[in-house]
This record gives sequence, C-alpha cells and structure tokens, in this order.
Amino acid sequence: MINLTIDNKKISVPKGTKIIEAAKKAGIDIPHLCHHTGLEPFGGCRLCVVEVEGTHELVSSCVMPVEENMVVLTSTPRINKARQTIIELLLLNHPMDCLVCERCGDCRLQDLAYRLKVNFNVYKMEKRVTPAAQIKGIIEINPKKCTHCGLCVRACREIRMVGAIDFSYRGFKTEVGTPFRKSIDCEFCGQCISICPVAGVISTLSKYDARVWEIGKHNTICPYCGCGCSISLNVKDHKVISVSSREDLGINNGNLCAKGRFGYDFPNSPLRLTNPLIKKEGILIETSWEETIKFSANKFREIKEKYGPDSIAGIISARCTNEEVYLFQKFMRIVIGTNNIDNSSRLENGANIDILSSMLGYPAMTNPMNDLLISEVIVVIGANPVESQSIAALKIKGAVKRSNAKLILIDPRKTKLNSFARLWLSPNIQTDSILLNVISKIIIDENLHNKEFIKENSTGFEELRSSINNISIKDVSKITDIPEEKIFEAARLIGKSKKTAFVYGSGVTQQKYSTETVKAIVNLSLLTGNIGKEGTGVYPLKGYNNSQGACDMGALPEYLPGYRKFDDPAAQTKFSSIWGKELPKTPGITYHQIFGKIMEKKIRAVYIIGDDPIASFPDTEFLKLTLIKLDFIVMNDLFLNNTTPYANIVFPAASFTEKEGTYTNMERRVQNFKSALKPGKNIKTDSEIIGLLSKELGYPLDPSVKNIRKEISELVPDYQGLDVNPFPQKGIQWPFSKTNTDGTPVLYTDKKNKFTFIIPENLSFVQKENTEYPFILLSGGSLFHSHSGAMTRNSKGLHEVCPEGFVGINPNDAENLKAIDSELIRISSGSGSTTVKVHLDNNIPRGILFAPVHFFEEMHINNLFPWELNPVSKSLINKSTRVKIEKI
Amino acid sequence: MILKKEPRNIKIMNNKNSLDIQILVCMGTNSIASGGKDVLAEFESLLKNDKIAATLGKRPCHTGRTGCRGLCSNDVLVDIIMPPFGRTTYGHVSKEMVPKIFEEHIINQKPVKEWLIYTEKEESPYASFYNNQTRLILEHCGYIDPEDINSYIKAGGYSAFKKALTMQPKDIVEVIKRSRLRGRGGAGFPTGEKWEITLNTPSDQKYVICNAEECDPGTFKDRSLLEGDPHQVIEGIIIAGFAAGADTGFIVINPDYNLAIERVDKAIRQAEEMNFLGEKILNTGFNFKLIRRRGVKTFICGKSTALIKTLEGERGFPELTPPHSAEKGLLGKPTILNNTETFSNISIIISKGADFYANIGTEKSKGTKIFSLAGKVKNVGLVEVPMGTTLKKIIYDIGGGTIKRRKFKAVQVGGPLGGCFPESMLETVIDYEALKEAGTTIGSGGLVVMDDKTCMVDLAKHYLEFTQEQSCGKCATCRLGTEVLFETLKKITEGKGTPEDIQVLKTLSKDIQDFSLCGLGKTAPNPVLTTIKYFYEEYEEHINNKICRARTCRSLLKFKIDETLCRKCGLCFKKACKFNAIEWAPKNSARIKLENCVRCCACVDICEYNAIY
Repeated sequence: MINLTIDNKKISVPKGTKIIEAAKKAGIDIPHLCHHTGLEPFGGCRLCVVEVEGTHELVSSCVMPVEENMVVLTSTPRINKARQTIIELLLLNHPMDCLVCERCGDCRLQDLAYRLKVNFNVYKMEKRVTPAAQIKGIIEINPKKCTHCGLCVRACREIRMVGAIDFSYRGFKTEVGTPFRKSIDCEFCGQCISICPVAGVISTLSKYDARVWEIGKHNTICPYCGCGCSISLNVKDHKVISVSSREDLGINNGNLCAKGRFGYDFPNSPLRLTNPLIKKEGILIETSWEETIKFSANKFREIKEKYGPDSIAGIISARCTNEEVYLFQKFMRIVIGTNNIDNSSRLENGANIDILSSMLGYPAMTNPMNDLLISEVIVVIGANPVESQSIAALKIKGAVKRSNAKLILIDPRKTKLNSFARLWLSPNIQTDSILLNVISKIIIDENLHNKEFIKENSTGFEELRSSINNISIKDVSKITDIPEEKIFEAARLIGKSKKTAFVYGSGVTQQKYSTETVKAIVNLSLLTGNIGKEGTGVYPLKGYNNSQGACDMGALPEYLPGYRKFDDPAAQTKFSSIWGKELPKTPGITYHQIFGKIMEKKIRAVYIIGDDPIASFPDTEFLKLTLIKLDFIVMNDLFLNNTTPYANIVFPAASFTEKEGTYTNMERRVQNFKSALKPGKNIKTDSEIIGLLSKELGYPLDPSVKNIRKEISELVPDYQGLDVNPFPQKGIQWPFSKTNTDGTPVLYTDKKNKFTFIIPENLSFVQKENTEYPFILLSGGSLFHSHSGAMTRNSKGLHEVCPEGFVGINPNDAENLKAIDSELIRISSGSGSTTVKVHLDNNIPRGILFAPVHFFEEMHINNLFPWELNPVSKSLINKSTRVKIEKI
Repeated sequence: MILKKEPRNIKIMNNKNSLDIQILVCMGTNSIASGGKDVLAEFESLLKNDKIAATLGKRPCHTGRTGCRGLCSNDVLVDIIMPPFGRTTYGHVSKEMVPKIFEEHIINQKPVKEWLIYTEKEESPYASFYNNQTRLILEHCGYIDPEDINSYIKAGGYSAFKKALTMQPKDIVEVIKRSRLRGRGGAGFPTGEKWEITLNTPSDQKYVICNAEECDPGTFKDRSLLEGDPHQVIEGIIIAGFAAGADTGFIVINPDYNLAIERVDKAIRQAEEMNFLGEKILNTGFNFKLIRRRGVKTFICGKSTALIKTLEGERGFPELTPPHSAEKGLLGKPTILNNTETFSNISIIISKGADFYANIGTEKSKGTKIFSLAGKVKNVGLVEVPMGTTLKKIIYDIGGGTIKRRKFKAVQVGGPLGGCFPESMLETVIDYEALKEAGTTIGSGGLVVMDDKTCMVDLAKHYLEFTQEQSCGKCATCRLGTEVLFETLKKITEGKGTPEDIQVLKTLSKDIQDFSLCGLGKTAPNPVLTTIKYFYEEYEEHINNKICRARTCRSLLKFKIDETLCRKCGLCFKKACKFNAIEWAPKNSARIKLENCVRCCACVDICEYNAIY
C-alpha cells in the first residue's frame, strides 16, 4: 500500500493506482473527460491535471501512479483557471444546442461547464461547419460536439478489439470517425454510443425519443444468444426507447452486440398479436380468451381420448424462461400425459445432450466464459462467435491480445476471428471429426497426453488409442485438404499447452456427423487433461438465450427436469409424489421426429410455443404437407409467422420485457429478471396460457413464478435454492444448492469423476467429387439477426443495417459464373432450388457458398437441405449441403 | 539511378599529397536540383575523351560525388583537388561551365578565377563559412562518397564499431555517459543515461530506433547527414544496438527524403555485405538487423512515443511518460530512440574517447551542434559549431551577416517551436540551459535570420499556423488553444486587433504551456511569447496604429509614401508598378495614385527603405 496526501486528506491505496482513482477513494472527484478505468490511460483532455508537491510541471492524474508520501493538490487557482479555459475552448466550436440535445442532463461537458463556472466570453472563434456523419443510418457521429476524449476510439480498439473508428486529420480539424465516413469494419456493438460522455456519438434510433430524466431503467437479460448479457431497458411511456448496459453488472461488463443493443423494439412492434386467434373457415380471426381456451382444451381432450396421449406433441422455444419451460413440460407430461415434449434448441443442442452427458456427466459448458481469458490455447471449431455469440468472442480476442493465448481456428470459412488466430485449419466439409481424431493420435504418438489425468479420472483410453492408432495422417491430410505440418502444429500446440479450451458452435452440432465431432472434441480434451481445471474445458456455444435452461428444465423427450431419465423408477416416484399424478411411461419423440410421425398418423395434434418450424427446418414442402395433415395445432407467439397459417388457435404471448423469470445462459448461469413493461390488455405470458389450459383440462397448474421455482428447487438437485429471495443479481452457475449459494463455476473439479472415452464410429470418410453439385452451401448466423428473424427483423435498427440477405461467394467463383455483386443466381441441390442475390466475399474459400438463415421468406435456403436426421441425436442437419449455381 | 553502379574510390582522406586529380561534385538534394547530375556527367564524359586522356598522361583523374558540404546557397559546388593548388572550390557551377573549368584548371593549370569561391590561400566568404565551424559530425560530408562504404572505411569508418565490439556493453554506455552527450532531438535528454536504462531493463527483446522524420520546415540536418554520410549514422545505431543488447533497429526517414532513403538503403546493403549488419557480426555472437522505414511525415513524431505509435501502425499520438520508451517502447519493449544527429556522434565518441568529446562545449552541453542556417543571411546552409558558440558568431562570422547588409532584426532559434530574439540577445550561447532560459529550445537546430522586412506578428502567426496544422489533436489545449492563438494573431495582422488581444495571447499561451501533454504543446506558444516580449512595440503598432513597420501585413497597407523614409530612388516607379499608379521624378519623392493602384504590393516589396506604408 502507498500512503499519500490528496487535498490534505491522508489516504493509502495499492501500488500502481492512478492519482485520479486514489482521489476518488478519498471522495475527491477530479474533473475529467477522457479517463475510464477499463481503458489504457490517455491523458488527452488535460482537465485532470493536478499539482504535485516538488514538481513544477503539472501532472496528469489519470496517467501518473501514486508514489509514497506524495502530496497532491487537485484544485488550486492555477489549475482551476486553466480548467475553465479548457472547457471554454472545447465549447468554442460547439453548437450550444443543449435545449434540443440528446444528452442534455446526462452530458459530462455540460456538468463540467457548470461545475467549473465557465464563462464564455474570453476567447472567440468563428464556428466551423462540420456535418454529422452517420454509420448506416443508426450511429451518428457529431464532430461539433465531440470533445476528442478518444473514449469511443479506445473502446472500439481496446475493449472490442475492432478498431472501426479512429482520429483522422490533424490540428483543429482532428475528427473522430470511421474511415472515409463509411462503415468499414463496424460491428454495430454501440460501445461508442454508450461510452461517449457527450452527444458526440448517438443512436439515431432513439433520437428525440426521451429526455434522460424521463427514462426508467429496467435491468433484464438479453433475449438473443446464449451469452446471457445483462441489459438495461430504457423505458418511457411503456415503450422501450433504447438499450444500455452497466459495466458493473452481468457477464458482459457493459459490452453488448448489435442485436443486444439495437434489437429492442420488437415488443413495441405494431405487428404484435393483441388478441387470441381462432381459425374459422380457413381464416384466423380475433376472438376472446374464453372461447379459444375452451376450444383448445376440448380439442386436446378429444384427440387424447380418441388416439391416446402420445398422439399429441409439445414444442417450446428455448427463449422461454425456465419457469415456463418447466410448467410446459409438466403440462405435457401430466396434463396431456406424454413424453412428446422437446424444445427448439434441439437443432443446435441435439448432439451435445447425449454425448456430453455420457462422456462427462453434464450436457453443459464445463467452465465459465471468463476462463477463456486465462487459457493458453483456445481451439474454436465450427463457430463464428464474433457474429453469433459476441461476448464469448470478446473473451477469446481478449485472451489472444492480453495474455497471448494461441488461437487455433477450425472452420472452412474465414471469420472475423482469423486476424487473431495463430493457426487456421480449413477442413473439407464433414471431415472435422477425423481431423480432431488424428490430432488426438498425434498427441498420443508424441507422448503429449496427460497420463496421470487419464489414469485417475477416466475409463476407455486404451480402446480409444487402439481405435485411432491406425489412422493415416497422410490420408487425413488428403481428405481434409490440410497440409500435414499444420495438423502437427495444431497437435503440438494443444499437446504442449497446460490449459486448452475447446470452443465449438453450430458448425459442429448441426452437421451430419455432429455427434462424432463432439465425441472427438471431448476425447481430445480428456486425453490432454483439459477438464475440471480453470482455463480449460469444453465450451459448446448456444444460439438461444435459454438453450441450456430449456434442457435443464426437462423439455426433452428422454429426460425429466434435472436430466433424470424419464423411465428411471426412482425419479418417476419422486416426481409423481410431488406432481400428484403418474408419469407417462412410453418414450417420447424429438421435435424433428414429430413430422415423420405425423406422416405415419401417429401424431394428431401439436402445441408449439414460440417457434416457427417452417422458417427453421429443411424441406419446406414436406413440412407444409405434414402440418396440413394435423388435426389440431395450437401456437403461442408474439407475431404471426410462417407456421401460424397452419394453426387452429394462436395465443398472443408476452415478450421477455413483459414477464419475469430466470434464464440459464450457456455457461450454466441462472439469471433472474423482472418485467419492464406491462403486456397489452389481452396478452398473456406463456405460463398464464398454460395455466388456463390446464385448468380447463381439469388439472390446474399454478403459473406463479414463485411456486414454480419452489417446485424446481425441490425436484432439480442442481437448482436447489432457485426460490431464494432476492435472487443474486449476478446469477448463479448451477449446480447450486441451499448450502452452495455461490454455485459451481467450474464443473468436475473434484477428483471423483470418472470420465468415459468413447471410440469414434465412423472413421472412413471418403470424399467423393460431386460433379453435378460442385459447390458446398454453408448456412449460418449473421451479426444482425437471430434464428428465423422474428425478433430481429421486427427491430427497426437491425433491419436498417441489414435489410436483406445475400449468399456469399468467392469472387473467383463469381467471376467464373460471370455474376456481379447483388446479382440474382439460382442455387439448386438434390432437394430443391431457390433464387438469391449474391455477395462477393473474399473470406469465403473457393467452392463454398455461405447463406444466412434469417431470411426465410426471401431466400428459401431451407429448401436446399434434405430432410435427414442424425441417428444418435435425432436432430436435423441444416449446416451444409452440396449445390450447384447458375446465372439467371 | 543517379550514378553509375560502380563508384570509384576517393582517396583524398588518406593521401592529400597524392598527385591524383580529384573532381568532387556535391550531390545533395539541393545540388541535384541545381543540376549536379549534369555537371558530374559532363566531367565524366570529358574524362573519357581520348584527347584529354592523352593530355593528362598517366596522372589518374577521379570524379566523385560527395554529400552536402553545407553551403547550399552556392550549389552546384565542385571541388577540384590537385597540386599545386590543393583544394579549390567552384560555386554555382552549371553544365555549360564545365568544359572551361576543365580546359583551364585541369589541363592548363590556370584556375578560372571569376568562378572560384574558395582556395586554400585566399580569404573569402566561403572560407570564413568553413573556417569558423568545428566540423566533427560533418567531417566526412563533402569529402567521402556517400554511396560507397569503402570510402567511409578509408576515412576511418567502422573502426569505432570494431572497437566497441571489444568492449563490454556497460563500458560503452559508461563512455557515452562520460562524454555527456545529450539527445539532439531537442529535449536534450542525456544519451548515456537513456542507454543505461535500456541496458538495465531486462527483456527478451530490445530495439533501437533512429528518428529521421525531421519535419520542421527549414531544417535539413538529418537529411544531409543521411545523404552525405549515412554510414556514420548506421555505425552509431549498431553500436547502440550492441550496447543495449538489441538485435533489431529501425531507421525512420521522412518519406520525402528520397535521396536519403536511397542512400541509406544502399548503405544498409553494403554494411550487410561487409557483415557490419546481419548474423554473427564480424565473427562475434552479436546479431543486428537494421530496417529502414518511411515515416509518416508528421511533426509530432519528433516525440519518441508518437514515432513508436506510428511504427506500431497506429496514429502518432504522444503518450505520457513515464514509462519512458527506453524502458517500455516499441511493442512494449525497451527501446533506444535517438535522433539521427545523436547517432552520428557515437562513433566519434567511441573512437576519440569521452574526454575528447567532453572537452568541447559548455559545462552542461557538450560536443558540437549542427544548425540549419536560413533566412535573410548570406551563407545559407548547414553549419556545425561547438556548444557555447554565440548566436552572433554563427550569424555574422559563419553566416556572413544579413543579405544586402540590411538591418538585422531577429533570429528564430530552434525551429517552429523556438523563440525569436532581437539583436540584444545575440550574445546568447548555444547551450540547452541558456536557450531554455531565453525562452526557446535548441529543437532541431533551426536558425532563421530575419531583417527589417519581416513582421514579427506575422512571423508568430506563420509559426502558429504550422504548429496548429501539426498538432496531433490529442490535447484540448494544443488542438484548440493554438487555433485560438493563430486566429487572434491573424486578426491582429488584419488590423482587427484590440488591446485585450495581447492579454489573451499571453494568458492562453501560458495555459497551453502549462497544460499540454507533450513538447509540441509546451513549446508551441514560444514564438508568440518571445515576440511579445522582445517586439512588443510591433504588436502595439498593429493594434493601435494599424501599421506594420515591416510592411508585410497586407491588410494594413494604405499605399502611401512616408516622405521621411523615401530616398527618392524611384525604384518603385521604374521597376515595380505596372499599373501607372506611381508618379515620380528624379530627386522627388514618389507619390501613389490610389485610383490606379490595384494593391499588388510590388512597390512595397521592392522598396529598400520600407517607405511605402
């Protein structure tokens, strides 16, 4: 500790503390514009200079660390006068339009001018005309109001590691902005807006919407990806004006992505459903709750009586809260009486559930995302977190930039992570599992595997060794199209590192051999001993904000809440004792199996909460055919979507802003949130709807969050204590219990765990040249949209930035086709064909096309994929397919 | 390429009494611009002529290029060294003059008197320009072939490096420390101490950076050093690398210095071939790689931290120190960053010893300093003087005084951030502390002489315009304050000044100096403050009387004749006015007919007596 005196106050602070921070501790607020604790010191605004006894020159308190026995004066006549001068200079070219300024009342320049009693008539200057610049119409940079504090520039570079904005020009003309006033590199995270102390950078979306003092702030959890960021909804008159984030709250430390920052206005969309709909004479018409509930209950009862409970299936979105999911699976299991219950994350999560639980124990991310920051080597397989799980990507980038972690990318496509990568392996499609297996083989061959860990903690290593022993590296190099030395380099990097993290995304889990690849990843992490330690682990990335929770809560045909097998007698007894009813004994079917069963007339009715299978699944024509065959479809949704036309009843459901509950993010963190808005008069939460239906069906379920939590706490051992009040603000990572209220950040730390190696099944990958369909179409997410786009495409800002979808193509391939940017081409596969606009993209290798999945209505990319289920996970495959392209 | 691929050796350094005939053509940038290439080509073609070759018989005759020898105002300069005349210099040589010089001087042994500007025996301005200097760093400039490493080696080059290789790094640092060399970039940080910090900071990687950005207007010392004697700089860098334990060096050159870049590239290549650079240098374990980079041409890059930022690919913003770059520099590694001139001193100190060096100069400032002498002075060029020399000696003895014997008014010392001094201050000596006391810095070594045709307010405005454009924009005070200073000065020169403006200038200047982060902001107001201090009456005249005594501020001109000043010479009538706006008869004062006057100011400019106001 260092002792010093600031303005006659004695204080002791840790070594290395800057004077400005020490002063803050002593209760002295030194005026500043450019200082920020999360950024490298800048020293540009010059307001924070102080006098230090013994030095003649003034000292920048934001840069200078404290020294023993330092005597600091923060406010002397010499300093105060010059501070006034600086503020006056800053205001010389300022438009002085505080009356109509966005940041009036929340502006540091305004505050400082007031606090320092600045007068405005010493210096004079003719005002210059510098027009504001807009980045894609949603971010506005106003040079006249800019104080050149550089916070936005530094946040973009240091926090986001993007560098889309910088200073340009020199002298008085110095300006902050994007290169050539274009949106090159910008990821629209909006960090510049949130960090700007004045109205230099603002969002045009909320311009003139609200004064700062009219806004009510409601902390909640972001409804998009699995990161589970904390966001604050800024609400005025029951309307979300904008989204901000707090640096001291949540896993995101104030960071957001484009979706989180700008995808907020769908709850206020005029397209929201406001009344229950019932289909009469082929048309959905508005009606009352009474009628629809009664009608639905009767219909369910009728079908159940006629065809048995297993003729009904229920699907719930992985965006619903844990409480809703729990209630719904309970509804399906005991009110309806079937195990035909699944959630929408089946597509991305199917491969994880079985493989991770049988090899490790829990089907979940082993470590918190923050552990990536201390990893030595990070392997990212089939994932583009920069666009899909932005905050996870920040941790990866941060590890590379700040602690020199080595990043290995395994992806056919070049992503925004590539500039951070030590090594990029670009395997041919569907060869990633064999590539990972051969890496395991090299590690074993070179004796780099963790023998002690394997011996103490695992079974099945010898079987694995002998199963992969005979793979020829040469053959794999040929199959994958990766030079041998690169494979060796990757193997050695992983083998020699003490802490390796394996991150993978939908590029693994939605592939044909998804289960094989997940197996290979876990085998690799086990044999290098990278489980159960900080900085190591397996990180499956998730696209839905409650993918993890939906599975934890038992919206799975084979598992009851807490991953108890549905046919486990002990579990059955326990659950039925609490639920007061016998549990169904027959196995259920997965989401993706439902449609096949409809064709077999085994399924007669479906209840879908918050999902749009037509927009999400392959082979649209087949899907439509099945939906027509159904006797009864009930849906809960915010909007009409592509599936609602087939529904008999559509209930208007509340959005995340209008309800309370918990979400479990992909790192198992259970986070509580409260409602920010009141739902419309005739809009109900999913729980309430389920409650009404169950009551009508004669087994009333209590939709109150409090009681559901109590029940979960009782039935799910890992969620014991979910009903604590108040729930910890930073959330808890399960497993937690009444005694372990801090949760479990890292799984499997106790040495008792026995992990299981599972030998790969399919080792003979023979790539056949397909002359008829020479291209490979990859589908994936984009920075600005999420899944079917129901939320993002109803958000004005995101729609503005990314209004339409393009199929990315390598410029050389485009040239062969004689296609230019934005031109229409036809893509055909064995399953169908569609017409799309192309976008020339150097990041895409030759022979590959990339299509975003969010533009069902315009692009019909789904048509190109065949209806094909992974035999193990029973989930669909919609990541890659062979296609041909032609010009129209 | 400027010259033939195989340069010939010039041996003058070692055998001055040789019978060989040496023809040395200056090949600095100025000289090339004045036609130096043609002059050299003409000499070479003449030499090839059979007849002439026969006349010369067996006496070898060499032509050679040299770097700048300093007196750029007389370019193209050609030295002919042959017995019995020894060294003779021709000035303003053009291609057409070459045959005559060749015929008479070399063949007939009769120098062309009217073109000669220097002989060993006679007094001349050129002689006084040279003889009053102490050329230590510039010793080789003008003598050796800058494009030939052998020429440098014959002149004793790289012997210091070889000597350094036998020493311990800490001993080298000790020698530099004892020599009390201070950085020539402007701030004057003791070089030895800087090196010591880098040497003593443990790191897996260290760097040496040579700053040759040199963006001050009117300064060309680094350029001349790199053009005239690049190996001396390189030798200094390698020694620094050896002393600090660095294995990589960068030399960052102003991107406009094409010739310097070309010569440095060539020099690096030659040094690599001779194994002064590269792996296992001269069979020791020392490896050193020197990389030449084009700079970004910003004045702010004189600040080490800003230069390092640009090398890292970022905007050239200065950072606050500590940590110093010697401790945490390029890519966070300890880095020795010195000015080109500083590195030029190193080989001299190592080979001649610290005591030799420490004997030159004043108590706190040692060695010699190069100045770029410019402005209204006769001998414009590069001069090297020991520390402690008075400004007067430089301007009058070396520079030859003002042009046309006009009245000396002021000298601006230290580049655009320096101060302006009147005649009364000319006894000030060149010394870091003495100049700081007087209100300026030694800066990059600019010396601009001004006569009574220069307006001091306008001059201050001119410098502020430059600093404003070069301000990096980081600090509010510098970015905005200099703009307000500039606009206020502009207002005054336009006759719109008010008495309060002087107070505004003074207080704002003080605040800028106090509150700016780097040297640029801290010294930017120097021209304003010193002109207010020493030429206050000019400010008053501009504000109160709306008169500019130097007649430079055009807005203040009323186009009238001051009869007390007019000498009735009629020059304005005869040579300047093209619009029939001046009436003049012999022995009468001129009169301006304002109805015809178009305010072109030709008369104002031509008047030697500032009689038109």
